[in-house]
Amino acid sequence: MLGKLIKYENKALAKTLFPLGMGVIFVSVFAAVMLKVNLSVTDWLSAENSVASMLQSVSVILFVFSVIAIISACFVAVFMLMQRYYKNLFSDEGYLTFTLPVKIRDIVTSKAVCAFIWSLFVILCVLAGVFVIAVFGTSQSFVNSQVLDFLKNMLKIAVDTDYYGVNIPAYIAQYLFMMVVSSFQQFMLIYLAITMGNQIAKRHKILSSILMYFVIYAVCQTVNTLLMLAAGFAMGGMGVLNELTPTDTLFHIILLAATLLSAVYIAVFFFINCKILKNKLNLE
Amino acid sequence: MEYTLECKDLCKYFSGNKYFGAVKALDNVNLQLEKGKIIGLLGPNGSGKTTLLKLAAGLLKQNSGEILVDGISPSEQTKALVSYLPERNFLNPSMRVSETLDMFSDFYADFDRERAEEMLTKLGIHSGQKYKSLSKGTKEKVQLVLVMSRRARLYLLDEPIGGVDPATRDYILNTIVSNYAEDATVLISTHLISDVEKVLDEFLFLKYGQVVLHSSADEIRQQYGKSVDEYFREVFKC
Repeated sequence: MLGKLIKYENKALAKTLFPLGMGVIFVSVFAAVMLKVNLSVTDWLSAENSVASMLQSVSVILFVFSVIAIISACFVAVFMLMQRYYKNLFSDEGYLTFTLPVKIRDIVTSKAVCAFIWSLFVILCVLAGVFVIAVFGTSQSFVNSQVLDFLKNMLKIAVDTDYYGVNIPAYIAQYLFMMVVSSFQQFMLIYLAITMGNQIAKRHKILSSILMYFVIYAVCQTVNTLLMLAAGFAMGGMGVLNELTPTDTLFHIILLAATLLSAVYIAVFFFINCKILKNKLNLE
Repeated sequence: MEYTLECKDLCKYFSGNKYFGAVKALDNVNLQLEKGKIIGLLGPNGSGKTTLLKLAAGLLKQNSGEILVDGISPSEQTKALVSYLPERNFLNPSMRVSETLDMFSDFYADFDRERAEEMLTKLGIHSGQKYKSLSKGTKEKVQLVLVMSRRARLYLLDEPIGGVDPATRDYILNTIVSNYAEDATVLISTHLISDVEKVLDEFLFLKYGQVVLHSSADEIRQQYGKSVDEYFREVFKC
């Protein structure tokens, strides 16, 4: 049943997040064109021409708005994912979701998996958009060869297994893995906060959900700080931690420990969320 | 004997607890519903009808007592046996009618898609239409078609004819009568007693969260010399 839940969750999210991702690409192309207009307008018209200065001003304003829109897309995506969870579980749609013959844990898992897939999609669209702007919009020629050279160099470093003694691909893989795990942690935290806000609070449910998010977040930060202090103390002072570089084995051990801690948070949030939905469900 | 739906000292409170500030939605409800019956769940507003259905569907948790569907507490297992029609639009508005059929086929092993498509055609509903573009009454019809196209053990119908015209009401009632399997139980909550009276085998009267009468239609007619509708008006006179 998990597969079926993921299928319908994907379908539902695709209806809003696919157009959002495509919108980001479209706006990026538009922003690149605006930058190009700004850089090239003096080639077409004399600098003193009032049309030229107007075109320059308009293109800058439109470029700024486009960049704001691209950045906002990330927040809009997170909002859409939160809204989907809330609507599908605690609004009228919940009457179907909770009467499907499926396990509660499968419902929560399907939401988190699809939220990850679609947030990754939006992030990739934003990165593609930045690439378009940087490569095509920042020079008067069709492509900016300096930016391309810079990206080629970065790519070369990214596959270098012995870059000043650091295995870069392994380091990137470890870092990406940590990012994946911590993004799941964020989704589980958001979902738990929404569930607690809706099922435990009697009124002001959205406000309660936001409050719950900050309360849980603060508790996690306190635990993290205490663990950091304990680790620093055990290793002979916080200075040891601050001086670590990617060449130290301890650096990788700490990254791994942070990932493991995120995994523990995921398990705890998931367990509490499923318990509440199973034993305290009250769809009013 | 195993009952399709059984409640033992079932209590549900809202806004508070058993001892303080509670609104009693259900108060010590005891009942047993046998299979093969169509039962009317009647009572004035706030008598606990919807709460009872939601508890059986697994959307609420009781404060005390027990509710059993086919001898099992509401769970993933009972949800495969129960076909629930809430008084709300439970479908995702952005879905097409055909997508809702796909969804029911995927999740419910007892869903008869052919029957659902036949009913939709009879009602003049095109499966390519988006759910949000349908009128209020048509949305209710689509939901009822989905719910009644399952071969469930227990149907829980909350106001299934409340928002539709009288001609459609007859069609819906016929659908309910002709579509449920012999070993299934149908529990219908409604205010429109005179419309449903003719199809019901038994009646369950709720008042202030308590069962005040559980009887067959014939018993009411014989004992009180009144139709169920007349009896209801007398018992719940304001």
